[in-house]
Amino acid sequence: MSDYSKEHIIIISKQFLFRFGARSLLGILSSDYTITEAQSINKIIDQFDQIPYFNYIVASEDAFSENYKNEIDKLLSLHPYCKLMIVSSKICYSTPSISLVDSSDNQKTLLNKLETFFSSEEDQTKISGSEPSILSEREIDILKTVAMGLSNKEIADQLFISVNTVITHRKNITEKLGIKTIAGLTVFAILNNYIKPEDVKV
Amino acid sequence: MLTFSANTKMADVIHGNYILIPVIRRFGIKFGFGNKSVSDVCNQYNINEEFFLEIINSFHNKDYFPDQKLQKFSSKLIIDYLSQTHKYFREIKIPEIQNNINLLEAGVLEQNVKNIKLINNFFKEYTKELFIHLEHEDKEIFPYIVKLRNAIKKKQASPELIESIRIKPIEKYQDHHDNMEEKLTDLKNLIIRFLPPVICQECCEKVLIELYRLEDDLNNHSMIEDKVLVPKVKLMEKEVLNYHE
Repeated sequence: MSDYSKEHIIIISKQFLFRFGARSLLGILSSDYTITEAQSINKIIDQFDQIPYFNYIVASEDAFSENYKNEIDKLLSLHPYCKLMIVSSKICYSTPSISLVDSSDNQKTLLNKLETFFSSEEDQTKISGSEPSILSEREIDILKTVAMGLSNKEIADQLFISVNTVITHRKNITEKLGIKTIAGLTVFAILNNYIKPEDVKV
Repeated sequence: MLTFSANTKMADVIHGNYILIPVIRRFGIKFGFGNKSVSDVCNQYNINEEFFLEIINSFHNKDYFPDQKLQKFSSKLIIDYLSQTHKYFREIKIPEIQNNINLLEAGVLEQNVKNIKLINNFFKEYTKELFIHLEHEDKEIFPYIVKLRNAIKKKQASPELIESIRIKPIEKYQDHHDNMEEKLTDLKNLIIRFLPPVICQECCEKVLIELYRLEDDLNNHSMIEDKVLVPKVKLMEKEVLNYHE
C-alpha cells in the first residue's frame, strides 16, 4: 500500500451518503490523511484562504453547478497541483488533472481507480487530448490543410514548401497515426481540436 | 491448419471456427444438424458440396485460397454466393454495427459526444460508399455476367453485349476495393488509438470486434471477386467475342 501520509483530501458532495461512502472507501486504502468535507465546489473556492493546502479532491457531480467547466478551471488555477476526481454519470471535461469515475462502477473497479488516483503513477483514465502530441508542429500544420481538403500543390503554395516535402510529411503522418484516408485524417484533426468541423470543405 | 472435408461433421466445422457461423447461414443452412456431415447437410439443402468446402476453407485458413479451383465453378454459383453476402452486409452486419455505434453514442459522457458523433458520421459515410459499391455489382456487374453466360449457352451475342464487352470490360470494374479497406482500417485506428475513453467499454469492444469481422468478411469477398470472378469473366468475354468473330 502506498504511503499517503499527511495528504489532505477534500470530499465534495451535496449528499451525506456520498461523503460518508467516500470516507469509508478511503479508509480501506490508508488511514494517514486528513479529510475536509464540503457541499459544493463553490464553497471551496469561496473559502479557499481558510483551507489548509490540499492535494486531492473527490467530488460527485452534484457538487458542481451547471457552469462546471468554469468551476473546475477556477479550482485548478487556485491549486495547479491538486488532483481532481469526479464521480459522475455525465460530466466530462478534458484536463490532465481530472480523473473520471463512473458512478455505476463496482467496488473492485472503484478501488483500482482510487488507488491509481492516489498513487503518483500516470493515470489511465485521463482524456487523451491532454497527452503530448504524436505529431510535430510542422506535421500538424500539414494535417490541418489536408483535413481541410487542400491538394498537395495548394498545401505546398500555402506553406512555402515543395510538393515533395508535403508528400514526405503526409507519409510520416500516416505512418505515425495509422490513418490513410483524407476522411480519416479529418476526423483525427477534429478529435484533437486542430480544426473545427465547419472548416472542412464539403 | 485443419482443412474441412466432406466427411467433417457440420457441428465440428463451427466448433473449429466460429467465424464461419454467418458464412454457413449465407448458404441457407440452419442449426440443428445433429451429427450430419458436411456432405449430408449439403445434400439436404441442395448445395454444391465442393463449392461450399472451398468457401469455408478459404475463410478458415487465410493461406488457403484455391483461386484455380474456385474458377471452375459456374458463374451462377459464384454470383449467388456473392449476392447472399451482399445481402448479409446490407441487412445484418452493417445495421448491427450501426446499432452498436448508436448505443455507444447514447452512453457517453457529455464532452465525448461530439467525438462519437464524428466516428458515427465516418461510419455512415463508409456505409454509404459500401452500399453504392454493392448496388453497382448487384445491378450492373452481375446482370452483365448473366448475359455473358446466356450468350455462351446460346453461342450467340446481341450487338449491345458485344458493345459493352468492348467499352466496359470487367477489367474496368476492378475499382475501389482498396479505398474501402483503407477507410475501415482508419476507423479501427481512430477508435483504438485516438478516441477518448468511453463509459460503455463493452459497446466500444463490440463495435471493434464487429469491425474486425466485417473486415475479414469483406477481404474474403473481394478476394473472390478479384481473383476468381474477374479472371473467369475475362475468359467468358473472350469466348463471346470469339463466337462473334
